[in-house]
Amino acid sequence: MFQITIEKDLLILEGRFDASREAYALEMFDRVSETATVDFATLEYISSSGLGVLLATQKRLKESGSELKLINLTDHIRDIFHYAGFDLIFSIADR
Amino acid sequence: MASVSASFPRTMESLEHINLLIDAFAHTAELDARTVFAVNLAVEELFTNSVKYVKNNHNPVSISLVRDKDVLVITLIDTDVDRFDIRMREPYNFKKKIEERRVGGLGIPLIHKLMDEVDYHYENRRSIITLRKNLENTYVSDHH
Repeated sequence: MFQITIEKDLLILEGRFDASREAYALEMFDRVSETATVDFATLEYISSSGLGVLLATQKRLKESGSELKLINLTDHIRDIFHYAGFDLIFSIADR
Repeated sequence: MASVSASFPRTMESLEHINLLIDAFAHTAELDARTVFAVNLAVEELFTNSVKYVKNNHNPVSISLVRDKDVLVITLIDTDVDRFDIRMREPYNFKKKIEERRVGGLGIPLIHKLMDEVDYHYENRRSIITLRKNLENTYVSDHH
């Protein structure tokens, strides 16, 4: 189960973001056209497929001077972002 | 020793069932949450490669998980496939700037980051990928 809820400039991720939900996630993130915050508080898991969706969105937004800002990453997900070097290309905050 | 094995249809929908297998194994094998996350990620990366890059093949993909003392062994067996050796010849650069990064290709480097050993064996169009993780080690191996 994976769900994305969009509330203005906030995207709330919930559940397991695996490869089976990549198409859905791309469709949802494609709706973002300006700087937005992504809340990871209720995200249990993310694989490279999910990282790819975030990277594609960040690359697209950066071209127009916007970006995704990430908040509330759990420890395990924060670890994966660190290993992947994503902490160098995303702004990550506790809130 | 704790072990489980099962075969899964070559579709993304199998990921949900693979997750259930890993959860059940994690409970029996008394894995900590960080290890469970790493196992989930490694198995998903291997399995989705079998789904995405092997065409016209309806053979199920076999996955087994074994914990023997402080060693965890993950094995994925895929039959009637071309050779695709996932061992890496050069270290992956995780520090690239966003402009230099391409989307995709992160799965196998992350497997190497999270596991201590990655073995590949190919014979008679059968590929056997074996991952080993020493559970006494820290989460990430230093040599990748």
